[in-house]
Amino acid sequence: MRFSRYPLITGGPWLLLLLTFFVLPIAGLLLLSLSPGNGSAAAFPTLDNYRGILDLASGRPQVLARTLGVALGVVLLATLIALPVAYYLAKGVRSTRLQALVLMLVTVTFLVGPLIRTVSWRGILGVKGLINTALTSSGLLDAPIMALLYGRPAVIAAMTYNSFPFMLFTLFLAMRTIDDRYLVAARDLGASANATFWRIVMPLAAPGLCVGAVLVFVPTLSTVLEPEMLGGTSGRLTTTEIRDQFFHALNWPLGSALTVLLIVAGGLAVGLLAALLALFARACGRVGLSLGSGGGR
Amino acid sequence: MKRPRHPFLLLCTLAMLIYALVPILTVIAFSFNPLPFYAFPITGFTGKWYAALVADPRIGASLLASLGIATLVALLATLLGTLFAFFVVRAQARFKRLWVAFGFLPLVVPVLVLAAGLQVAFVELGLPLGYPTVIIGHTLYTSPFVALMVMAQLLRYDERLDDAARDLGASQRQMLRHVTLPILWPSIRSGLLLAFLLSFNEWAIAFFTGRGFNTLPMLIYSMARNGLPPSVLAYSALAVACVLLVAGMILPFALKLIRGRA
Repeated sequence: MRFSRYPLITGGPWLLLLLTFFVLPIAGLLLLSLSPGNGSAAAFPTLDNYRGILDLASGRPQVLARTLGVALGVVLLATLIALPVAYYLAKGVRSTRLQALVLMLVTVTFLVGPLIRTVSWRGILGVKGLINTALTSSGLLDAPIMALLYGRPAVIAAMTYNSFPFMLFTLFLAMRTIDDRYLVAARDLGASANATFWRIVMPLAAPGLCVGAVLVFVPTLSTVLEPEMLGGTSGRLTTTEIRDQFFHALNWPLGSALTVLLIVAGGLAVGLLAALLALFARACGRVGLSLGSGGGR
Repeated sequence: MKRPRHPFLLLCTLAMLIYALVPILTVIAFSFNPLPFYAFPITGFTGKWYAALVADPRIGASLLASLGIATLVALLATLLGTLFAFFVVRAQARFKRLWVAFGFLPLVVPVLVLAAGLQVAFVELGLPLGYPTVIIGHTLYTSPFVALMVMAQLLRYDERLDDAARDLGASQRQMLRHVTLPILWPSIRSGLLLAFLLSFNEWAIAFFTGRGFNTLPMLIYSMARNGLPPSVLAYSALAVACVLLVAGMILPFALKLIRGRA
């Protein structure tokens, strides 16, 4: 028996750490969310916080729906950006150096961290930012567009910017593991380039798409920086509410309840997303989305 | 093989590169601009924002805090993540699939939840918030990434190499020291660097569970709330330079991984 096979030595430390500092805190959140909030006279196990949150009049369900909607939109955008690039890099480019170079450039900008990445968008979308400067100096616009910054489009642009590398990497790795001979066989049997992509590549890359979608969705769901720095007043999300409850209103039970709600809603959304993507992949493989070209069946 | 080289795909790739690079490049450009705004026009070339950055006493203290935390986190996460990679690939255990799924749970739980949870748990238990909470939080956040990196190489590792070492009389320790770990080293080192960078740049966990000190992201965040002084630009540019340096160290391994020869 080799040491590396002992489950207690290899898996033990990490799993133990998770049990104490990951499961316990989340259980703590759950307990605290059942405690009476500030100014409430209720006894310990109470659902008051949840009633307050789920009350439509408080506006919080709408904010939660917006949070989930924004995150799903970001997943969609990240997929649209990453899908053609991953395909091109994995199957179109022969040179691994070129592949590594492109991925490395993305990695470098990614590892600079969400804070700087978010701040950098001010220089792009601001009144004297890159877009407005380019548009006005080229004469396309007389006056800069003020509304680019401090609104939901800016928040979504930055959120996508901060998370799409996850989608790019997982899709790239998934597509790279597809055997080139499948593509050759498809082409030999008369499939068009489009048919090959939708009926061979997409179904085989579906697991990567699923993992990428989750890896984009989850961090996007927990962002505070983008709505705060670029969102102005219109960009309130559940995450900024959680931060405010913990640091400004100091109503920890309510903050905990909001956090629990975010986990539950996020978990449900992840499950739904995975199911939808699996369905999509099967549809691609079976029905054959040949998108107009003569591939078809 | 006829490769998919449609111009549309090339166009998408170029557009993605522009999207990825331009915001960071503009920050670097602004950091040398005499105007103290995150805006055009670029009117000249100056190093005064860098001077202001260095002169700010808060930066030095935050840098030390961030470096200390990130170093410890990188070491802890590398140890735990590498061990867990061995568990995933080699160990035989009851309910192993369940344990593996549990081990990667931090990847699918929002960081904010972890941050708020740690804060609540420590305060409820009467334990002080500070360096330990941030280090624990960051270790939880970064270890799965290390595990994934090491797993990528371990999955391709030919176990007969270990058997050969044992047959030739190596002890467990000698086998690890001279065969297994040297072969896995590129992925372990990459995981270490990745954990360091992730921890160094992490904001939410540090903000929720750090008390009595500022990590660099915490400091930049509090500066940003008061209108983003231009020294933030200088800091950003320096951070890009550092990341570029570290990324260059990961590059050889990434190249091998892509080529499938790791």
